[in-house]
Amino acid sequence: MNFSFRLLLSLWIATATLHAGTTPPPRPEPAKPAAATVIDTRSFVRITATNQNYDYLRPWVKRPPFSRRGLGTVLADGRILITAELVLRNAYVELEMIDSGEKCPAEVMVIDYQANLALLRPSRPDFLKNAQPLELDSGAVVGDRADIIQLEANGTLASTPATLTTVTLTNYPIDDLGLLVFRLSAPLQQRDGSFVLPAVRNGRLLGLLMRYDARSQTADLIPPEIIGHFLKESAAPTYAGFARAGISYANLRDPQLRRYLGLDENGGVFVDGVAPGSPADKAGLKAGDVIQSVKGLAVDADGNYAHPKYGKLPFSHLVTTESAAGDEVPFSIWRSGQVQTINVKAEPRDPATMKVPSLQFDSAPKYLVIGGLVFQELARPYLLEWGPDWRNTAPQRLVYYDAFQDELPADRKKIVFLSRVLPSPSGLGYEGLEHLVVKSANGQPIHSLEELAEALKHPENGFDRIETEDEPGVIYLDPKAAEAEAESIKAQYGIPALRNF
Amino acid sequence: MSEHNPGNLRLRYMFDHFITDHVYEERPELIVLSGILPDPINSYTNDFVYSVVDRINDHKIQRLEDVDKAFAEPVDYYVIHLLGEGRPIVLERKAVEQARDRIRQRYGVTSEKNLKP
Repeated sequence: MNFSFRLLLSLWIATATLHAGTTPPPRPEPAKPAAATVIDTRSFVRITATNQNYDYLRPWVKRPPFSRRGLGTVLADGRILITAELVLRNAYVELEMIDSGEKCPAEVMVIDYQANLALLRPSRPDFLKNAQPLELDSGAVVGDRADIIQLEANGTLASTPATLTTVTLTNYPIDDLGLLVFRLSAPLQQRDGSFVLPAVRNGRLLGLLMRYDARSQTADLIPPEIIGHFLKESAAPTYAGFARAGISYANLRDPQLRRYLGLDENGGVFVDGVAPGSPADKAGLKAGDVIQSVKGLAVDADGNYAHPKYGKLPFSHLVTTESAAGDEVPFSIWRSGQVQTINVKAEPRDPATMKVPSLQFDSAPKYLVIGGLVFQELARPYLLEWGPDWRNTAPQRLVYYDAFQDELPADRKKIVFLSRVLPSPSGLGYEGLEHLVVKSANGQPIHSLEELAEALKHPENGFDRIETEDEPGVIYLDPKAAEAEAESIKAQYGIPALRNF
Repeated sequence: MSEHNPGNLRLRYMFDHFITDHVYEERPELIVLSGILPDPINSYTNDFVYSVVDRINDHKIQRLEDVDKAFAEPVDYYVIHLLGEGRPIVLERKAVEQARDRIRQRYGVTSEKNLKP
């Protein structure tokens, strides 16, 4: 979930209105007339997605459903392309033909949260029989013109001319993976259902708009390279997604550092971290290595290589987008005064292997309630409950574990914590406790909710003894009393089940 | 600490959990790169402000005196390792010697150290 994304797309009209009432925003240079764009309404469908999020502070509760509207692009084989964020925690998706107003439910075929893309399929195979599928554009370069397509409330398609100004890598809204982005200059107006907007060039799909900043009138587009990679992976029996090497690096501009490392030539970046268990780790890359080239392409001191169309791009693009899962990606490195080649096998990251998962959209949050004590496994969506500034406002220890989870011991599979206490007789005296990370229960180290449940089957001297990292340090619970009041807690707090693993 | 409002999450965490996490056992003092007086010798080090200093060459940094001792060594390079940062700060000793007077004069630094509480 990315709040800035939602804000930018849903509130940009507010900014535009503000400008209208005060000082007009600087007008962009009048766009030169581009070749007349013929927009075929049969290439797009209106999407209404009704989504429903969990309340991570009360993990047994779903929040009220809400709807988002966007414009889906019809592709070949009866598929409809949208951004993943349109259907996050999706409950129901409805398609609507623009001309006829005919409606049809749809299901999500494939969704990639990292690439922020999803494919829909209508529940009725003939729903798109009169549609005109769009093909993917290729060959756009900086300076090229495109049209961003919106839908008027009366069902008319409107296009806004846009100019491709920058091609770069940036983090996508839902996760932290940096992928290619087309940045366009476009004076967009607020129109109906603007959550997902396609951009077309020469009658082909250039990309999907995923961010818009009304102040600077810049739009971030998911470009053809990312969509193409997604569609190719979608056709495979098992969707693999986008690989990442698992490396963090620092620039090597500092001449003192270069001399210390014995580097004579320009270029190369300093590997300052390798995520445990990542493809780079498995291949043998280490902190302190200097990456000089990837796939035979020289890497400069800022980590960029020369892309034939787009100029300087971070070398991670070669792994994430220009490699398929399973490919061997050769890294030429400088280590201890020697040049070596290390082949890194491109693999996507499995969010389930993360100690603090960043994504958790396909499953309900896990929890265990015993004696009014609510235990959960830490996941990024829990921290997001604190809002856009969660890194500064959420409980600091939990934020720390999220940020530095790669430094935790290998056997620390998940972070289990007491999220809150629902007042009850057996939890008397503990009502104010919250956000306490659990170290052990009845002498057993706790690395998952399942381990906690198992440990609580074996009380010591008739009591459960739960150790926490922060004060009070130890919590005692009478398991018989907790068991006796289980039903009353369920009834009192409206909890359908006292555990969800 | 709050006056500086450092954005370094690791520093804030270590400061706040100094007792509960027994940070003091390994580091009786948290030695922090609290500021950088801009000079050609440190042009590439601004990203590391508010980082906790872990080692300088072979010296484990547990107190401010350890920093003083480390910089007294006749090494070619001072290699400053910061907690959580794989990339060290590297300063050439000769360049450091040449920069000392320049920095003191430019910023009116009357004394380069005060190790007394």
